[in-house]
Amino acid sequence: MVNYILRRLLGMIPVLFGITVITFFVIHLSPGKPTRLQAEMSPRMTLDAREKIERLLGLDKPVYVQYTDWIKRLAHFNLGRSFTDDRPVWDKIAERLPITISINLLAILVIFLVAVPIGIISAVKENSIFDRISTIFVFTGFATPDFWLALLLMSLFGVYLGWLPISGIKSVDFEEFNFIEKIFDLGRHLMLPIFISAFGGLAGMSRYMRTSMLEVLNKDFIRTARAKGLSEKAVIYKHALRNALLPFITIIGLSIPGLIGGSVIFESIFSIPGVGKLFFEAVMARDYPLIMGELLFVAVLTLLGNLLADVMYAVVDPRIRASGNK
Amino acid sequence: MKINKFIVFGSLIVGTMCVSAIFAPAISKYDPAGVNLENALMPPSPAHIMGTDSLGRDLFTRMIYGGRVSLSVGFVAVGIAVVIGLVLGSLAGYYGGWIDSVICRFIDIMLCFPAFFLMLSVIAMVGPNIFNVMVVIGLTSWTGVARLIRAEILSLKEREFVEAARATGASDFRIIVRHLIPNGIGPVLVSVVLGIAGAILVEAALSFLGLGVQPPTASWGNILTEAKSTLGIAWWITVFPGLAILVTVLGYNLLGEGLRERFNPHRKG
Amino acid sequence: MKDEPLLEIKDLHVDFRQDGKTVEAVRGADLKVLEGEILGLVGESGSGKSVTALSVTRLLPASAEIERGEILFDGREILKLSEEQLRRIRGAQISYVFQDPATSLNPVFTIGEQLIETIRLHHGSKQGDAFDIAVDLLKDVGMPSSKEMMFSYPHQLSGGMKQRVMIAMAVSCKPKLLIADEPTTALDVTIQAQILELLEKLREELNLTVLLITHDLSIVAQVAAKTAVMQEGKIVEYGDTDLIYRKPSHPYTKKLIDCIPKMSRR
Repeated sequence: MVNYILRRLLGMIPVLFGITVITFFVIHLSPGKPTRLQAEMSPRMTLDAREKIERLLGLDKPVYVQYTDWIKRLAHFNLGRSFTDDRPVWDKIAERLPITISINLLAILVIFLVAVPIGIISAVKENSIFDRISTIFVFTGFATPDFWLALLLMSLFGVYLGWLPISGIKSVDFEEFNFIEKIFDLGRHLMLPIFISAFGGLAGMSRYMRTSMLEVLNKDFIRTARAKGLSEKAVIYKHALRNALLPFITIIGLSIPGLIGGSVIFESIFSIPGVGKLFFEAVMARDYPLIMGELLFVAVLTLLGNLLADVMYAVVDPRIRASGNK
Repeated sequence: MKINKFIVFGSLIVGTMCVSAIFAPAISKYDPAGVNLENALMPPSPAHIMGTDSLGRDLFTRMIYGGRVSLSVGFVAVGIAVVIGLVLGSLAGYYGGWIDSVICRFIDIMLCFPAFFLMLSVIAMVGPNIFNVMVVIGLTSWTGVARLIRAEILSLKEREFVEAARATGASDFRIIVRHLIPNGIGPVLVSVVLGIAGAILVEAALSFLGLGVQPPTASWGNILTEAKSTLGIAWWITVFPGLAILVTVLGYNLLGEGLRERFNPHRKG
Repeated sequence: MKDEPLLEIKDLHVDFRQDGKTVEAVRGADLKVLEGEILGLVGESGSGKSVTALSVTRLLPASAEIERGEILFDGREILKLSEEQLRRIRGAQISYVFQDPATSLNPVFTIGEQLIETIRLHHGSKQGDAFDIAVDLLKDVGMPSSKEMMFSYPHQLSGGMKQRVMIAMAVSCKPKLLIADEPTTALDVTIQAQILELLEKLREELNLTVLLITHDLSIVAQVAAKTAVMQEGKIVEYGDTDLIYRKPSHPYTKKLIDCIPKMSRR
């Protein structure tokens, strides 16, 4: 098991390296130096100041030197300073990370709690009314743009019905609430964002669970379980489910980049101070260090998420756990 | 042969959308950019069946022209993705060895980046306009096609018809292009259709954020940007563009699912 | 040995329905298995023998339908029993050993868990007691280091060992009838003999009645007292194994016998 993790970590190194290369490449795609656009957007910047910044950022050096300098800084977790307010990029990301992670984790929980039962029932009652209706929902869900759904829900629950707040994560008088009221307030604010975040994944996951379950139900050991005289409930929930959930766990791990990507949209719409909104603002302001830093950060996060998913799978599947090798 | 419901419905929707996009000027007499402030924010009426936006432009017209944008972005972006994917995937599958390792590694690295983040970063660098949007979507969605064609080629590589082609002195290029790709094209076709659906969604999201198609060119996404500020005042600006996206994407998804069943009839679920 | 057959199948018809097409898998099969004997059911793949076997406890997949016929087990009409009653028979009075032990065992549970599950299900024993019973069972079927085995997973065992586990599971509740569907087909030849010996040994110990299904006549010749030959959904020959071997009456049987390489014939 430890071997497995170590080998995976080792295999990650070239990928990590590749991520830095791609990030670096993307940032230097701009025709002309990165400071040119910056200068165009703030006409106050004199030629002198511009040259100073360029020297500071090492933009006058050849590309490969810039890259190695940057890598050296990265090794110290130095992601540079934001153009907009000169604060360290790392700090800006770190302070927003908890919110984004919390919302996405809760979204994963919601997906799990909803997609799994739907998948199981659709598979067990294949081609029943339930299956057909949930298939229709799934297809419609796939086709719905999440930002549009957000707008619809905002106007319904926020504007017309006035039940849920439509921006931020806390009310203005948050500090005056007692503990319970604070939880309740957070909950009300986060309800729509979490739903929107989960929505994209729900359709796909319940479909995937259905497929996985159908595959397992066709396996020989299910016939053996029935031949032993087990009740249909035991066959489905004990023998089949355990097997069907295995690939499901990995898939959830693989959906992490999708969830993080999606947070740009719903955080911007709902004005949630998270990593996604930060990125959006950075892009609008052409804040290159911030863009670069976040892109890198998010890619590494995805990499770690995949590792976590693989490790969880190895733990849960005895075929890997018991022999320690894959 | 059983009639595949998916293909029927999907094609119907896709066909309608394409036709209305191509024949846009014939369908509506209004100018999509025709500002007419007196008529601003009018609800749907016989004169303006989908109402008007805050600059008095007829929404229905803008919607149809927006359809042109969405469809062209979809086709071009997926076109780019397919070309890159077919090339890299075929090379990896056919030659194996270090070429395969390098390409697969490259795909792994690309997949670590949430696509949307990557797209936004590139657009931040090169500026938002419809052409860049097409390229950016294409550059971030080729990995699926690459993997698919690689898998197909890997399994087809050892078959007799390949041996036969080689025996007649066919070059590698010819074998790949004339024999392997056409035989493995099934899943790729499905991927193309679903890819168009995805590209439409992404373009809409980018335009919605202001980083895609720029106004005054109408795109379903950027019409929805306006919807954000008219929430509660003009429901038609919110409802119609979104509905258009939904129906179009649904059409492509249905078509894709139908094709998938056609190419893989023994797959359960 | 009683005169009334333990299992009697009369005029069984089973259809498969897929995509609007109907395939007749079993077309009027008649079978009798007397208590304490081993009956070999022989035929090529597709002859309907597995379908017949699964019909005995109505374990068929959803696409199959028993059109008509009678299945009498120990005097009871199988086709008229409720699901609940059937479940009590499965595993306890009639059990199965299937062809491929690698896929017939659940990969995520240990051997012990799967054995104990059956024991507790039909005997209601406590966990500790069931554990001991299971360990003894493993010894009985010839498993080495049976206590450690309890905590292994199926993928850690060889094919022969897995099949022994299947057999252990099948006899754990001392059933009256054991239906073995191609139990040795997926195994090496050397292991085949061992498994057949095991079945014979258990038959004696537990007065087990066995319905042995196989496409291999030589196996039937080794252990089965009686043989039934199945072709395209019908039983075309039935009688003492010795007799059938020496004087096959049906042309199909003759063909099957001719297919056996001369050396392996008794």
